[in-house]
Amino acid sequence: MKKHLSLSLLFFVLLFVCGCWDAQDIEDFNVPLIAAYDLAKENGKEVRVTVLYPDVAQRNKELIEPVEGKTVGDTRSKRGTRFPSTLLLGHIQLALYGEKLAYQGLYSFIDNYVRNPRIKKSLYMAVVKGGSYEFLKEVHQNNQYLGFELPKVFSSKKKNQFFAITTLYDFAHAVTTTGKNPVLPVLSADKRKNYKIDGTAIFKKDKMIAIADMNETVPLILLRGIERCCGHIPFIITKEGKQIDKGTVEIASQRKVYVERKGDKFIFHIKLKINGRLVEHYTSERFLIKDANYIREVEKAVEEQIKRDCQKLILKMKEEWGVDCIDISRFALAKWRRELEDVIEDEDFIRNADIKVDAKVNIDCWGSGS
Amino acid sequence: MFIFGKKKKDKDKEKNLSKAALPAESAYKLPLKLEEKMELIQPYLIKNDDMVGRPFCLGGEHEIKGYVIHLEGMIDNISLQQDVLRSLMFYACGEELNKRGTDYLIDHIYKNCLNVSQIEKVYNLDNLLQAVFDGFVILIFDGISEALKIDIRKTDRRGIEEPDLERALRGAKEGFVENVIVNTALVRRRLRDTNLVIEKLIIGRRTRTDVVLMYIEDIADPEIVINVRDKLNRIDMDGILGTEYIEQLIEDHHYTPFPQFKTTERPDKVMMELLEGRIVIMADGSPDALIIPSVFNSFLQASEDYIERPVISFYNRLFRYLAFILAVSLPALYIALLSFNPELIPVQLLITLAQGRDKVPFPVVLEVMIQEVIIQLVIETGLRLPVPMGQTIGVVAGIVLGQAAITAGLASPAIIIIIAVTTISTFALPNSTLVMASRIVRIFMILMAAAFGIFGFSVGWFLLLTHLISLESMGVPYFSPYAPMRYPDLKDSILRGFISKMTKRPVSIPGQNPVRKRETDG
Repeated sequence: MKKHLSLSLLFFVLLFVCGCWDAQDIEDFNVPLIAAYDLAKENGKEVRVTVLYPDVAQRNKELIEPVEGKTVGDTRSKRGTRFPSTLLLGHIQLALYGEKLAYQGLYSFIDNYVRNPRIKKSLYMAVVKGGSYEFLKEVHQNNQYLGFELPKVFSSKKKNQFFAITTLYDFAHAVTTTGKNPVLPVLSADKRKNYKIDGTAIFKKDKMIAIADMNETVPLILLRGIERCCGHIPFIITKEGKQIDKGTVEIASQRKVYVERKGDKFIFHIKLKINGRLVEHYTSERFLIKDANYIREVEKAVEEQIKRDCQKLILKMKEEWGVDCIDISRFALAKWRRELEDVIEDEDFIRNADIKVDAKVNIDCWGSGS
Repeated sequence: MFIFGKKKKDKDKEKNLSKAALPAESAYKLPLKLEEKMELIQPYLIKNDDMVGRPFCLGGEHEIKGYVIHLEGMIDNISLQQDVLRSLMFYACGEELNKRGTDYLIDHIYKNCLNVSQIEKVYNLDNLLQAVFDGFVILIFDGISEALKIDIRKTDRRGIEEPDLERALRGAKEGFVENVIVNTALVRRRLRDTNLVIEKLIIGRRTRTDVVLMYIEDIADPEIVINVRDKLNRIDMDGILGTEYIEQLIEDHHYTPFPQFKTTERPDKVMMELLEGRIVIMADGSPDALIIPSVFNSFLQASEDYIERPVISFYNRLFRYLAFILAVSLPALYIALLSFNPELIPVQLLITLAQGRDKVPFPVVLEVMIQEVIIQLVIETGLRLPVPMGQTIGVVAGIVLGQAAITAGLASPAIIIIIAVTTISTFALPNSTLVMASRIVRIFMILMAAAFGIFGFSVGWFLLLTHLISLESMGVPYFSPYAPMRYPDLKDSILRGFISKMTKRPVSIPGQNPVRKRETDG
């Protein structure tokens, strides 16, 4: 009797502990690949969450579903009243944020991602010029597989472009760490309804403060010292005010930052070590470059161009944005944490800092044939 | 040199024989007169039509009557006529014997008349009758109480062929047959060591099956030898079919699906196992040799592992381990991922899987179970049918049924692939008993995953490993050299080191002589 009772008890315990009640097969889910967030109304009290997911029943089709609500969670419960399937949030590859929403601050819109262990922290984030719902709707007309293609722009780590690639982890880390500020890539749709990366959103913690265009993005990425950042840079060689050659170099950059202090003045020395190869140059008589000194000229031209662009950006950062978007404050914080912990986020810190850039370009492959 | 409990062994042999003997009421000492002997034997001759007897007289002037008894079809008739009866009837010289007395007769026949090698005296009726039923020829004489037992047994057996279940691309192509004498000869021919001991036992009160215990005296662990012999001697049942029965009767853990002793049909493998200090049991009627003790690792090794180059053997073994993991876990993992943790599946694959399952009316668990049942039925059907029909069934089930199930929306393409890969992996395992075990464990893992998802899958593996670690094969940890860790044996685990570097015998298997090879050689 006792044995039977024990076995029955064990059976019921196993039955109730059993997780099979929670099982839900994959065909019952919708798998959103892109989630887009916008302000629903101008007052900023409602949010519109749009998801783009491939339709399981009809192959080769992606659906876009916008739902508005007071909070992100509210949109989820409202979505349940309109659509039969459950969203499987763990596979969101890309989160898009409308421009206005980004200016308001993204903290409350990444909170639900950070809290949910099922959502991968490596999803990419981007700001969209205008509204993200409109962007998705517009661009999707030209591209049936946008859900798979757009995240690949970020995941297939581009070797020929300089633009910011920021994951949810990077963003959350920068927002919550003293002395760090995130940047996000900016997407826009052109007249032919194709998407493109159109600049970099500069953030002060979770709030966007400005958008740097693509010309500013290159020095920004170089100065931020993103690991193994590489891409193509065009150059022009002039002599006595006359253009004698132009071309492109493919470069990979490494950054070193050294900070020193003179009284209240902080002096940052940013050293860019750039290695690269000559991709092309247009002067026909020099198809085969046998004179190594010519390459020194190219290196010098690229160095000067990079220095010039970087100083221009630093000036804009100090005067207009007033935020450390090139991620150098942490070096000072590492040395003088107690003193700087409370003031390093202030605009004055970066405005008063002296930032010096030195670039050293080494082009070791130029196709000389030797 | 250590003698393996010789006295005890003899006692056990006697005990064994007495156990195997006929009931006590027939334990008579043989009478002198032939008629009286025949009176005792007659009931058996009447009852058993295959028991044949014929009278004869010894050659010479003074006739001495005799009687030959044997079982039909069990002996070599030509040898009986030429080597036994002809010698007795023409060359035994009864008058000479008459002068010296009848006591001399039996010794004379034993030593001078019969030109067969295996002759033994029998003193009582029990042993006489037992010898007849064991297939010996029995000679009884008038005026002599002793009988003679002559071994000219001959049974029809199949030829020595390559074993179906243990085919090797390279190496010997010989396999054991159902005759234990032939099997021992196959081993002896390869292992001509004077220390190779072959002990013969008779197990089964009624079947009286010949069982052979083999070991190399100066390598095998004496304790294990004694233990195995004791266990064999303790078997007291009316009949055994072969090594399969012995395996179940002497193993320590009866409830585990995992085999505790490896079986092989290859003499070359037996030879290698003996050289590593293991003990081998073979039984008449069974083409398998039982290798004691065996560790889990050895079930994933094949005989050609030692023939191929180390890198190739390592590559093959790696795939066998992978096959075991896949055979046990693939359907369970499929359930866990699709029903509980789809976030862990790459998105492209997830969409494809979801689209494949969209029209399937069953939940994932049921879909897997249905396919698992179907494939088990196909395997069972294929095993029992003749080869051409079995192949047809395989093709019908594999291609037609699978395709039809997908078209009818009863199964997703993915589950067909999952079950196919699982089945292929199952049969990639080199040991048939491990194949059976993996099928049972797979069901357990499916249930765990169906109940608890990835967590259940992990717990299932945890329990499986714990179980494997807790097992022992004749006192030897089953999961060594991994747990407990035996570092020297790792060079012959998944890895297969260079033969020139394998200077020591496995540490996992207790033994006396650890050195296999001198380091200076080769």
